[in-house]
Amino acid sequence: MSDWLKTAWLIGVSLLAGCSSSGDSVTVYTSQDQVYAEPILQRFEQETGVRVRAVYDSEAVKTVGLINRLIAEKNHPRCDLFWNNEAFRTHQLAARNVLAAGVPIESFGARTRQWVWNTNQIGRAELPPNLAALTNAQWRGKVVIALPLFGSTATHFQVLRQRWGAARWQAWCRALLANGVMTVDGNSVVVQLVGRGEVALGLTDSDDIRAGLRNGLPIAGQPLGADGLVIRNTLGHIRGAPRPGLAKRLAKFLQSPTVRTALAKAGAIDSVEAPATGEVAWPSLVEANELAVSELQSIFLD
Amino acid sequence: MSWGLLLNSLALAVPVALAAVVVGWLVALFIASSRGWVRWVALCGAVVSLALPPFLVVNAWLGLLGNVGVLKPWLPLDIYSYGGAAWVLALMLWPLPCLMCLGALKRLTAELLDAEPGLSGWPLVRTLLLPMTLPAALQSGLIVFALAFNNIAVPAILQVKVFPAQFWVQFSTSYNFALAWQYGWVLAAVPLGLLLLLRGRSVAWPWESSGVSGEVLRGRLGQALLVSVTAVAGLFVGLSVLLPLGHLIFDARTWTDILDAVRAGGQAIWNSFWYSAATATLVSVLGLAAVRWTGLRVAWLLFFLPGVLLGVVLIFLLNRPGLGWLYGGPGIVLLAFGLRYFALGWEGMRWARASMDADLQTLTDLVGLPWWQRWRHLVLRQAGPALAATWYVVYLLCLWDTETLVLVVPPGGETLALRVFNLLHYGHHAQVNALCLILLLLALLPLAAWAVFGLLKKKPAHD
Repeated sequence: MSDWLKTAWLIGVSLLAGCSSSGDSVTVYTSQDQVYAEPILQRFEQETGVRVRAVYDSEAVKTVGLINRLIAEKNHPRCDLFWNNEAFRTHQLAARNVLAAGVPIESFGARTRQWVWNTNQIGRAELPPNLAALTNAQWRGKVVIALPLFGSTATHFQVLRQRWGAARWQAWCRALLANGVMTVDGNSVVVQLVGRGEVALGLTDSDDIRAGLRNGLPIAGQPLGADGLVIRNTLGHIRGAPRPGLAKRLAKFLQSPTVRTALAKAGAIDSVEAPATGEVAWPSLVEANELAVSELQSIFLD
Repeated sequence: MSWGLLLNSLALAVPVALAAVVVGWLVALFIASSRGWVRWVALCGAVVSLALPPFLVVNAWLGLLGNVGVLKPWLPLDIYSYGGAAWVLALMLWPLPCLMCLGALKRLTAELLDAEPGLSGWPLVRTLLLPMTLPAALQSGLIVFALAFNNIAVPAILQVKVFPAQFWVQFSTSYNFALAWQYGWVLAAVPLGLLLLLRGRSVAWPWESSGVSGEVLRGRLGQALLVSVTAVAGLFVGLSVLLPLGHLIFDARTWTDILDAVRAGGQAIWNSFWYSAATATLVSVLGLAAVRWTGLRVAWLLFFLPGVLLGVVLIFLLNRPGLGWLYGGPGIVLLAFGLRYFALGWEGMRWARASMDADLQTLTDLVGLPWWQRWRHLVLRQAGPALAATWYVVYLLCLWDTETLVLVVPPGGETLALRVFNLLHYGHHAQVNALCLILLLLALLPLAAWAVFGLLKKKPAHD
């Protein structure tokens, strides 16, 4: 009986500890689309012999699971490099001292916020000239956006707040809601609903439009012009990371032209550099986040 | 806290619970009065319906009743409404009352029916079947209420604003764990309060007795009632299972992408299987060991608390120097799943134990049988199906679980469910469909193994 227990204990401990060895490896947390990131990280492994231990983000937690995890792990970091497919949340991590001091946030590649429309319902010429026009009666009940409390839509709305000023922005948000805008829980759902013809027009990210086109949806996309936003991939080096040297090596690899080409080919980033839409003052955006979120919540949720 | 959203959630959960109980009860009556393959198809339909991912069900209904849905020109119902959300949730949750009411119906004995030989049709339902199943219907209704109250995915797509959204907003935007806890507690408190109402009441599960044969019950139900329950069962099994499953299976890209999905997600498939199987085993064994400790009912709190909050606590407790062997490996997954689902395992084991013959237990104590012989001759024979069913329920829940795991999953420890939600976000629908199909096969794997085991066991008897 005691032998049986000892054996069971040994098996249990071996199983529990089975995946925890780190060896010559680097741990990366990434919110980049797993389908795009996996082959790139595998390529890094092949080229360098360094094992990459990756944790991907999940829609189940509105893609902020990794941010929350990095904050929760702050005192004993497990991650070496954070590869984010946008910039705002990386800057939020920097503001919370999760990232290494003195190491700048690196950025590469870009997606853009775009109009997406159902080509069976409207033509390019009928698109609204700007975001303000979405509150016109012509678009009543015909527009879908992701709930602007999550993801790149949240960032976009907060950037608009910074550009337009709080009063004009709040009035626009309220008018948008009064005009029957549909809010869903993600940009890919926006593309799906437009593709199905449930609604004629939506706001989403360029990579989601490419995914929709790959799925054969009758949609088209176009950048938003002056009201748009360029969403860059960012790399954050974690403060107190177990393997900072390997993290730098991986960061350098991720910014190489080869990786950029691979990401563009896969549709993760735009192949053509987006037109400038005005610089974003990230520190003040981070500072205003709490207030902006509470305003958005009172308009779109309460 | 938004009282408006709280009321919205209550207003959604109440009709869902009522509808699920009515449908579940009628389907249970159909299953109890049927036999052979029809009975198995209906039972499997109920299980598969519980295992289907919510987004698949919603997508199928948007395809039918969305603004440009196939049925929209003939059936001008608005799916983007409370009614639409309640309909979809009720279709997803009716199997719970069905299985619990079926358990209660199985307590019906031939002796009980023979006591009133003239009782049939509606009077039989009113005076015997309804009173018999009322506690099970009430209990399952409360569980459905709790699940509908905490659901966010279905109402979000169908434009119904609910309270859990507020928790997610706090968690996702402020990164303020203390504030997120405030909302998380409310999410746990409502269902927990309802569960406390159930305290001390016995729950009837389908394995407790074989009940009367389907033929006997059919004979007593009468033609009109029989036709009604058959129509309801056919309609709801069809709508809940065949519609979303057809959406999955008849999409050609599901099949073209399945090999790629297996190749890319091989490790995730294995992880999903072994994490779920190991957790189900662990929880069942521990539940059995602690079956006498009634204070462990408090573990239900961990079941209803949003899984990400459990993850935050585990990070706080275990992400420390010297604990890397546990925190950085599969141990943290088993621990997180184990804590979340312990209440189910423990309660299941209590019900299993309660279904065992007390006299036989005393006899084995007096004879002094060794533990393994007691297991073989008493526990497995009398409570085997109950133990297996508890194991299976935990296994199913672990397969689909994402929120418990998402904050603590170790690098390389990704599961199929996490992969599905990741791909879903970026619109890789063909791969998502293929992975969903694999997940469904994983869900059915233990049932298939059970069937094969049953066949092998039967064979020598025929020889």
